[in-house]
Amino acid sequence: MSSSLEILGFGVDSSIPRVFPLAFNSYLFWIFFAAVIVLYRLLPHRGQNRMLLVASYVFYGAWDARFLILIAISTLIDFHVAQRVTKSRDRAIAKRWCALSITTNLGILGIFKYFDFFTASFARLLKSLFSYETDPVTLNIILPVGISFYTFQTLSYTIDVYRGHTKAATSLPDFALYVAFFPQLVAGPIERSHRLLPQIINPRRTSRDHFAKGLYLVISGLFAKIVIADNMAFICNGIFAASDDQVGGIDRLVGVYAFAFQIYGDFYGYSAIARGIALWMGIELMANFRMPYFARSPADFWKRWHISLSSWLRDYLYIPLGGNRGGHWKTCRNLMITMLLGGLWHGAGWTFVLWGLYQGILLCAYRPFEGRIRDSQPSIVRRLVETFLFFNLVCIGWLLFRAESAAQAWNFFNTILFSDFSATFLTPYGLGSILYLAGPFLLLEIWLARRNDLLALTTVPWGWRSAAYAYALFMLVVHQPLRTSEFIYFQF
Amino acid sequence: MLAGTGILLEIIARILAPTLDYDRVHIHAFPEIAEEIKVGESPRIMILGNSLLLHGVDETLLQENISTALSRPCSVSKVTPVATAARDWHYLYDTYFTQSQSHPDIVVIGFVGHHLPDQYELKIRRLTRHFCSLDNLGSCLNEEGRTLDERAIGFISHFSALFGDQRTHQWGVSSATIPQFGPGVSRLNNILDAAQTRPAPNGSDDPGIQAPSTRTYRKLADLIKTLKAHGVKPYFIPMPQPEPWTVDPEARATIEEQGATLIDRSVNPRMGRSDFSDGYHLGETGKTRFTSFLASVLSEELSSMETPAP
Repeated sequence: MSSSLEILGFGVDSSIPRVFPLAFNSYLFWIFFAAVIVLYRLLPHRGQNRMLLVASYVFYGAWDARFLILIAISTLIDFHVAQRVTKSRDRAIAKRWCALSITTNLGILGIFKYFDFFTASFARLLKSLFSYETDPVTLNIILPVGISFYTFQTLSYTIDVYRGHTKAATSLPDFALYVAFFPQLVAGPIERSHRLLPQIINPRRTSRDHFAKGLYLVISGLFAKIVIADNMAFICNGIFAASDDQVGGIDRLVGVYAFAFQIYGDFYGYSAIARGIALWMGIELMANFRMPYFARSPADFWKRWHISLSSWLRDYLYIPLGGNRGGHWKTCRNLMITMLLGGLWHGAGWTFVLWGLYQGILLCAYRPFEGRIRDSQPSIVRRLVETFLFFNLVCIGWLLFRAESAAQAWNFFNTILFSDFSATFLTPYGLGSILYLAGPFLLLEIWLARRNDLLALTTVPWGWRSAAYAYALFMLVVHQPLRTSEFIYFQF
Repeated sequence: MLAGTGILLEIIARILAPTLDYDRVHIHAFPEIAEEIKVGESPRIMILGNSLLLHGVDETLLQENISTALSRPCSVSKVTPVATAARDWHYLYDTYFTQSQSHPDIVVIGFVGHHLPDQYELKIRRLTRHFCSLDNLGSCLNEEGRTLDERAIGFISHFSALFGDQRTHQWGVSSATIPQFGPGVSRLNNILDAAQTRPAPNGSDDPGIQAPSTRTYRKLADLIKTLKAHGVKPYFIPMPQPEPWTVDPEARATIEEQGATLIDRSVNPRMGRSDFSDGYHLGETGKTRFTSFLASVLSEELSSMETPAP
């Protein structure tokens, strides 16, 4: 059934490549960025902002120009809503304007990301409960890259203006750049207006320090994406595609571990490169990761993993729901709702819902012990044990996240824990790869954790830095992925 | 510092390049082979292909058998870089033989189904590094690079041994540092290929790539045109495989339309499984039988030629 959205041109079109052409690990992006940075250096502040806006639209339009319309709609509505909210003396009217923004943004997100999922799921439910066959109305449209990221970013702006936490932007082009700033447009970090907007509005300065920190972030990001994530993707994809007779339970466990490092390398890599190139333009984006696999509890993990999303969910969902006010059960209810919706934010699929549910359960289950874990000063051995235990709990979540279906996740879970303890040569290969490719990165993180500074490498003597960069360059050149894969978070 | 590291790695890669593996040794000998062809006894026969012919033809035996059959000397050269296909051979021939004006009288090209179509999965680094010259690099990148990224990689690889031979360096370093690297990669590649494979509708020889109806043969036609333009007679010979297979009619038509000869007697000599070393390449017995078969076919063809090419 063709939908009006298909007719309007948002339908799935196989002639349009689905690969994001300006991904940070492509040569094309770096040619694009070289042109941007040259122009940036030549232009005054206002010109820089206009040029960055055009560059951001080119960046996004290179994937599919049709979806610039959605960004334009969000931008125009939220800019004008914020103006109205600011001018409105009546809170009720301001609230209505804010509701318009929320409805529009979530409406776009709902139509483009969730409509087909919910109608298809409803049809399946009808069939299973009442044996009622129905042809679900599906829109059959492409999921716009990064829609969840920029929608949440613009939503936070209008809500913050309504709450009085930030001032409404007075310049539409500046606000449009806040929404579409290309380093973080398609995969975050989800920046708050009070952090990013002033950096856009006010003139920026760049220094040697910005360059040094940016270089570190870009190199570490490329290393995490190309050396770790893409090589782990090969192992993980292979093991997840294998049939029961091709791999054993321990191989599958290694496949899940490989995915844990793939998704971390992939997402950390994107965020780090985004921060690095933004720094080269004098803009400081927030850190999205703080050594997440060293967490010992779920609350600790969510302060380290995808920080821009977890803090967004905390500020705009968990706390408005009541947060931890109202006793244990209400807190758990709020945590479950928040994490379920957080799961759904990642993708329109039941495995993501299950992942969110699992995260909510973990948070609730650990809640009585969180304070003790946070305040304790355990020995190194105990810390290692707790960290490894919690890493495995995180990996159960990653299994749900990565699996094609709940049935596949269960099959993996069952074979790993209960029915098949065999291993093939894929186990030493997988573990060896994790150790060789991701091990040095984890060692760096241990050192960073001890220094309590995510950018500590930029402050060490020149020789040490050179050695680290030379190693990274060697690994980047030699250990190119055996098969390339896109940034995972583009699909969200 | 980063530039210095890059230069150092490049120097090391260039020092290692000629002796990285037997295939690189062979590729680095192409200029010598071209010189040998120039001064070789006529008829000059070039065996052009990949590992199928590398393991499938004994050039000394071939030369002896043809010389005996023709009662006059001949020369045989093997140009068989591994994991190559028509898309590579076109540039390879142009770079090493056309540009040095060193042409054999006949070229025998051995293949199985997926070696001839344009849809063969190219290794762009290897192609531009080893089989292209500055003269044909531009057209190669233009025609073979599907994306700007591929073109950029191809361009850099032509000038950089580090990039061009990256896969070999990766294999060497990873094999030394990661246990079971080779078997692991091979197993996962097979699993991933199988997962991507859609069954070929007509049961063609190679289900791993597109069905024959979507195959095109432009590069094959270009190769034949290049050979014929220099007075070289091209022969195409389907290589024996453990399972019988047939040549795609579209490939057959291209070969015939361009005036090349298809020696479609792949059922002769009939090979048993024991004639193959690994289920794909011919082993020692298969090599001898196939070489004898090839010698007899070529002798017949050469005898029927009125006058050999100069």
